[in-house]
Amino acid sequence: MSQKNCAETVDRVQTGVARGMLVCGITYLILLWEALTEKGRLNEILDFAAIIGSALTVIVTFVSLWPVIKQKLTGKTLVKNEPESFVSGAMLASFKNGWIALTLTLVVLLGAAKFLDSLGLPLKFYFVLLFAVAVLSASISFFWLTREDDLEELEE
Amino acid sequence: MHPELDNRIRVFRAEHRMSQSDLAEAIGVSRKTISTIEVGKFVPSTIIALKIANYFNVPVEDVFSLINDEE
Repeated sequence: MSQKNCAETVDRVQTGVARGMLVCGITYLILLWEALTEKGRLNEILDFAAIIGSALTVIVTFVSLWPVIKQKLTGKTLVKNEPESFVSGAMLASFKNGWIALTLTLVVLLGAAKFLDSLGLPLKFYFVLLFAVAVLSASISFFWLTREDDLEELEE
Repeated sequence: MHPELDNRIRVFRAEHRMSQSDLAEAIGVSRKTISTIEVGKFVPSTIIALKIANYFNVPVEDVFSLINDEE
């Protein structure tokens, strides 16, 4: 595989992983909504949507990572070093933004600890919330940073 | 455009009648990387800057330059 194809493949893998993170984050938001609803029709729909979301997360992530998995299985390395790219930089910046969002959420939760205690929600709810914040903020940040703007299109 | 770094990649590409994809392939990066360097969204590493300059067979200062506010 040529170096050029490798650079494009690395960009596609990173974009696919971000897509998987976005689907995963939305699925976890559905799980949060489900936890807040009473048993009934809506709860059943949300439960079904969460199952679909989980399956989609696995499929999207697996398809995105397939070039890497194939490389590992065949034992062939594309290049010695991963090519530097704008998309890789954006992915790192997105993880940083995700970490900031997660920390801010923790600060808010800690500040509202007494109030949250009175709600009597299960501990699992807060873990799901934190995970959703982490993956959603990172993926949304990634797609914002890598969006095509009019100036870029003009340059081609 | 980046507030401190200017580049003339587009000019050199035009002179060599190359697309962003052609240049990206030649130096082993993605087209998105070239397009974002051109518009100043991405500041390339020294290695990429040197690869671009080497490809056009010019000194790196001919492709990249600092924007001087006093000018």
